[in-house]
Amino acid sequence: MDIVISNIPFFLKGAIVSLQLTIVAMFFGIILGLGIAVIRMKGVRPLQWFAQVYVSIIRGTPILVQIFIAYYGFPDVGITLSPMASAYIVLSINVSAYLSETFRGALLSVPKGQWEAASSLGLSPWQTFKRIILPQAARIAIPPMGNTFIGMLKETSLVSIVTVSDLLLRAQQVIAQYYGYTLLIYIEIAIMYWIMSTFFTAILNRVEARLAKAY
Amino acid sequence: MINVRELKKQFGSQVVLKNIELSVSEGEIVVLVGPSGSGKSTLLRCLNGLESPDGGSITVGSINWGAASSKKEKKQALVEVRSHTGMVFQHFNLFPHMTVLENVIEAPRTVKGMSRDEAVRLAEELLKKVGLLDKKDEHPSRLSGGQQQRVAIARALAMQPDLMLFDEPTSALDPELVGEVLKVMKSLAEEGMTMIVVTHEMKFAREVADRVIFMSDGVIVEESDPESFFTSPKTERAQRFLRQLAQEE
Ligand SMILES: Nc1ncnc2c1ncn2[C@@H]1O[C@H](COP(=O)(O)OP(=O)(O)OP(=O)(O)O)[C@@H](O)[C@H]1O
Ligand SMILES: [Mg+2]
Repeated sequence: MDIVISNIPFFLKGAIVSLQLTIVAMFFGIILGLGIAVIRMKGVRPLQWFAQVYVSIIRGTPILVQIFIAYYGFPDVGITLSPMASAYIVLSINVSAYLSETFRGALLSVPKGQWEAASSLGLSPWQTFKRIILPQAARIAIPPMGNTFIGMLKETSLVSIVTVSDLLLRAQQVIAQYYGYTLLIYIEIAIMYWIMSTFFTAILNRVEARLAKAY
Repeated sequence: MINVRELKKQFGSQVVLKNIELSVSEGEIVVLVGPSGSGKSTLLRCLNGLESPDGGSITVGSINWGAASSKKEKKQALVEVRSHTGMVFQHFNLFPHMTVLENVIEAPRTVKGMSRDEAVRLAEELLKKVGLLDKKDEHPSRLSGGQQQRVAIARALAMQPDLMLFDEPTSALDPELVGEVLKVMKSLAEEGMTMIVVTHEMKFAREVADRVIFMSDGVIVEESDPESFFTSPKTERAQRFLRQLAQEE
């Protein structure tokens, strides 16, 4: 039992790595995803087509395969990425594809009358987007974004395969050192994942409750 | 003040406006009537560039554009025309994420770069005028339809327009709320605002309009002073339209 307890700090560091991967992937995923959503709605034809293929490929292939391509495959064409770098890149791209769909739906759900009212007042398309459309779309997109965040937190465990020192990889390292602790250690980190998910779910629920009653 | 020449507009193969000729002088109140689908909204929307014409030209004040204008010319013209023209929509289209006051100061702040203090002062004056100063910190969803439409009028007025376009401003309202909106419009008319109003409120048209224009199938069929239009319409189509309207009421 003392092995379970004495390794908590070691695992906590792994949990922080998992969290860090999630937050960075969300950050770039939001920026990229918003760009893709806008391109798919307003971009010129070839760009629209490109964005659509991008989303389709990313969503239609396993994240593990994407990680392998980045980490094991890219060196073949002279691009060598550290485990952490390939994890950041793949997770960000992956999140962006899913979020772009969320954003597209949210942007489309803002009534056309909002564009018209803002234009008739003289706001430029960019001002209208930034000040009128985006705030309304964000409200609609926040709950699904929260779910993507929580989902991503769990999916980061996949990057342990390319030796990113996240929670799961650390568990495997500890298990390799001591005989007979496999079940306990895996349960321990499962609990840690579960605590993190529950914590963020609780926050998300509160945000959703607040969003539901505003305006 | 407004001069529309040979205006054409089509959606796909459907021609919605055919050779519209229209002049409106400063301070004039024009009421636009006609059956559903006759092109009233489209005409109004062409005047502030929400629709772009497929033929002809439009002059508003000193600004001129038309089907022949280049993209850049058109863009330039629309920036100007929109800063001189207010539009009020059937469904209000207030910004739901902003309070009443924020709705009204948005365009002066963002478009004209007015200071917040000045914009607030202007907005409060306008909200007082439409009788809603006490609601300035509410969100639109907390207001009745009539109140929302009055805020929408104040919001349009905040850009200090010379021309106001109203597209069926009272048709989405419960009957008991129509009066408060018409009253605001009437006082605006009395102050000398140039207005084009699409409405089926015949009493309003009779009391306020200088001229009634009857449209059908994308053409202006008849135009005259309200009294003669309502009592003795010249064309058969206008007669039929007025009979139908009377039946509905
Ligand atoms: N964006 C659009 N795309 C395609 N067709 C359109 C569009 N806007 C209007 N139309 C068509 O143009 C015609 C004229 O429409 P418009 O809205 O100007 O009529 P209206 O006189 O305002 O009618 P209503 O009294 O019902 O508001 C209609 O047949 C309508 O279906
Ligand atoms: Mg209409």
